[in-house]
Amino acid sequence: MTRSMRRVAVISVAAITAVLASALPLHGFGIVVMVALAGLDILLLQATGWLAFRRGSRLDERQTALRDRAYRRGFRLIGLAVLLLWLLWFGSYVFVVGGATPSAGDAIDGGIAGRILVVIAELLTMMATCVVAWREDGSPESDGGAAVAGQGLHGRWLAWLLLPAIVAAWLLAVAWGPPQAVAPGSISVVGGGPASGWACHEFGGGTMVGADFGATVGLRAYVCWNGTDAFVWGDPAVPPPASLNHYFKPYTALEFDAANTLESGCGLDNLSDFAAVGQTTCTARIDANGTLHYTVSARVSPLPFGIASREVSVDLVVTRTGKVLEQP
Amino acid sequence: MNSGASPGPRRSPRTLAAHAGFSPIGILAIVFLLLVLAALYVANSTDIAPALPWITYLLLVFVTWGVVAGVRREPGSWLGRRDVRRALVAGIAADCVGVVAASSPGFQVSSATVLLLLFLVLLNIALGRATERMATAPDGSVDERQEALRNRAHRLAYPIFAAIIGALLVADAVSTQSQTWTEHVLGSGGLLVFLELLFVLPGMVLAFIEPAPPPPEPGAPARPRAANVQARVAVALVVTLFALPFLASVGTAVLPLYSSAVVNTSPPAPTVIGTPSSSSTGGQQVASPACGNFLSIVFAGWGVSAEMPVSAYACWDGRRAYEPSGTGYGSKCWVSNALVSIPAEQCTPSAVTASDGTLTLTWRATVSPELLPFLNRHVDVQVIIDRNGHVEIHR
Repeated sequence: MTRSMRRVAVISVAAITAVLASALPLHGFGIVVMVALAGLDILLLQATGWLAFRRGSRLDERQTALRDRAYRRGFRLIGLAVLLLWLLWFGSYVFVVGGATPSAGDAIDGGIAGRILVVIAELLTMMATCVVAWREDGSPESDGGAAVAGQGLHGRWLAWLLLPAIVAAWLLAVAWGPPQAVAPGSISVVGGGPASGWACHEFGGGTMVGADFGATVGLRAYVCWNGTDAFVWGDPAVPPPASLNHYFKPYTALEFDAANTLESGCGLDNLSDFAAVGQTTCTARIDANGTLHYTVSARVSPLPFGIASREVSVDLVVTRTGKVLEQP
Repeated sequence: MNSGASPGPRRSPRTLAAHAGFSPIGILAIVFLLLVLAALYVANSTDIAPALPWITYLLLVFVTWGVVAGVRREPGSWLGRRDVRRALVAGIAADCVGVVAASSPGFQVSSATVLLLLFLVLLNIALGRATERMATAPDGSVDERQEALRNRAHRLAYPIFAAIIGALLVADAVSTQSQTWTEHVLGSGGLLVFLELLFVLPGMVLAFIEPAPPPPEPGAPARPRAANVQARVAVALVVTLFALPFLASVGTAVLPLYSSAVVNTSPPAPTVIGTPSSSSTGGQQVASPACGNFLSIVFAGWGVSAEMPVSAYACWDGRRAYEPSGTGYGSKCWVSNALVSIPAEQCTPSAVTASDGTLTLTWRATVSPELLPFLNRHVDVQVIIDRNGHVEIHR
């Protein structure tokens, strides 16, 4: 691989890393981006003869100096890269959200997003290799580096098996892995309702499949109770029980405005970076005891055309006295 | 830049001068602090008492910074010794752990964190001198051996850095509990430690792996006397700087309490209830009792200190002093100025009236220095008001 080709590969890695680090929605195609990144990484590793990861005893003096210098420059570049990627994320977040708060996913807290994990792992593992690929005049492998590292033709193709392995592990985790509960995120928890005698609580949370590299079905519901019934407030898709109709005369127009649905919302908090989430339905049922059974369900599809898709649901059960029987 | 016996290109005299002694920023900081002190003194501010130790300490920090930065590492000097360098690395690592442990979530910086950060700055300066900033020096100012050494240090630092960050990422993904822990770490001092590792870890590794300098040759000229003196002063200042917070913590437990002057915010003269007409008709003039709201501030410790704003409301009528009914007190009365915790406090005073009519209000609390938490001091603050309204504070 020539120097210019190596530099094109490094720039491509930087561009893909930037896409992952940004707040731009991936619409379930995160795995494609991740595999592309892994493919470029393998290309660069082979182009540099895996120099950054080879033992010092297998390197001559020049290669050792080259490797160590790349680590020094790479270490410095990590700080710069972190700063630039953070600025990129912030700028794209403002662009995507457009000043509206809260945004999708605010009700759930999945920790560091999977795409950001990939970015950090990429920076930490590949920075030195990128520096070697960018700066070297010739090809390190032409110095016999590949042969020294035991990288024959067989070894070269073996590395590419990593890509199907990544896809298989991801598919396994998303399609068949056990779902995990996701903790509530940055939503506020408030008391007091729009009418006297009511108490309310904002619930948030979700169910995640495929860990940070799958999808999350989120739930955000502002639930009120008055001793007779518990019900969801503020979601036009979930009307209040008929027994409360007399309360809603003065509030209906204001509270059920479609633009004012941030307290409760169906599908507002789904996260679908690495797998598509569709057919989200939210159902609220109040049983004879006044207990609210609120369920958000959606279909998570790792592959197009619904292949290997699965149904994921989140349940919330609150009694008429505000006792929480089940929550995400 | 050259160390030990290895010859190599020398920095220009200007570069060396820039790294020796006080930097312009350091001088500006010292001047600024002196101006703050002068302004507080001229304004006769009541805030000067608690602020004075910290301003003085900051001055000492900057002076130490200047002196340490001015010490040149030369063959045989204490900063060039391998064990000193390794001790510095251990100190920085321990300080980083302390910053994470002492920080509370939500980027709220406690006084203990501020102190640890001050130490970290000093340790970083000392590390920079010990390694002659070899890790970040421009390419032209290091020789081949130094270039190879610092490159190797970066290569070794890289996996250490990656392992620390990787451990945090794994912790974030493993479980909800570990995720909470990770968020706590990153949301508090973790970010500062991340920056510290990002910028200083290669220097730490370099300080650790750099071989011990060879002993000075028998015929080599002795170090200049001035350099020796400056090095010793630097050591003394660093030791003083580290010791002072601990000494001040001991002082919190043993120094006598002190207080500001007592101020009475109520009008002193009694008022008369009744009218002249009622008096002329034989009605009795009733003198209302005199009352006072006595304010003062009681301090425990100097530098590492806590204070209690005392507010005692009492009345007296010449026969006795007493606390009017309905007098209310808050639930918090002691305030930590720096590095002191208040494990227990009784903010509603116990009131005792003696046979001579003297009223004694007593507040009780336990103060404990955060750096030496095993030291506890039980503090009784008494405001004594006699039947004529004379007040004194017993501590």
